[in-house]
Amino acid sequence: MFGEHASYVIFAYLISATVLALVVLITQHSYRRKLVELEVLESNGIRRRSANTNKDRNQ
Amino acid sequence: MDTQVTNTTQASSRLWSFANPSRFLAFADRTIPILSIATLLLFVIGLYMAINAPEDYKQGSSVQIMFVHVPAAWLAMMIYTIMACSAIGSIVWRHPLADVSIRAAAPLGAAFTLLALITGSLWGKPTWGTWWEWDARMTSVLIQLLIYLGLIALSRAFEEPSEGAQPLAIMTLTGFIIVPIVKFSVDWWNTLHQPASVMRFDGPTMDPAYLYPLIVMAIAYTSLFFTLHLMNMRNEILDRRIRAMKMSVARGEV
Repeated sequence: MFGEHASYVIFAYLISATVLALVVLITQHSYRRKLVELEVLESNGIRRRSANTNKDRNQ
Repeated sequence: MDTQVTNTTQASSRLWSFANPSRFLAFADRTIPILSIATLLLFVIGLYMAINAPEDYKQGSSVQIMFVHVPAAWLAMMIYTIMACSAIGSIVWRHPLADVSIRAAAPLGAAFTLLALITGSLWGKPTWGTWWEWDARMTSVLIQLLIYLGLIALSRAFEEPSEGAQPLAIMTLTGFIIVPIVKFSVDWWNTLHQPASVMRFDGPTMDPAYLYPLIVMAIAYTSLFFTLHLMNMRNEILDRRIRAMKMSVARGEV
């Protein structure tokens, strides 16, 4: 399918797919971890100062 | 006169409110799913076109490496240009989102530059008979990768992100010198690497059988970058929020 240089072509596509998939997975995993951390902090009653200010302003 | 000043102030405040981190998070949450689907579709179409592209009469099947190598190399330069624009935003307006943009883009720039080097090497071996040559294009791209790595290290060297914003922006702008060197290295020096065949003043010299899949793959890579950039910026903002909350606990404010 990829002719006489098949091994070079396949490795180039595989390495590109692997690196890009890793970047996507790491980014998504990091996002989930941060959401959990934020939830834990908020469930312990910890609020950002600006969030408190906005709340006070709305009251 | 007063009305003019008021209008300008209102327009400027609208612009700043859009760049507010909370509004940015809402914008990112809405945009990321749409961009992700578009990226996936573009990759399916692009890969189908790339795999079905004919063999080149000189390079044979190794020409297919171009569809993953060239978009990565273009992005390596485009991402640095975006970082340099963000650096201006960080230096001139000291806007925190501009700093967030630099920090979020640098690892992505490093990843695409690394891919450009690896896939270029894989293309070079069957085409030129060598994995690597210290010619102007390859060496300048390697320097660009080192600059990206340096900026990533610098962005993590400061405990308080706001303290590192100015040094990071200044170093990013200084490093921008590498972008024209990479771009024009094939014209300024006698290199093994071929000169530009798509981005030329007199139009592309490439056959449509290769040009169209290349363009679709380049759009797919660009769409992937913008998706990842938004995701990384969102992560950086959340990181700062977590840090601010932890600091308020440490200061005994909660």
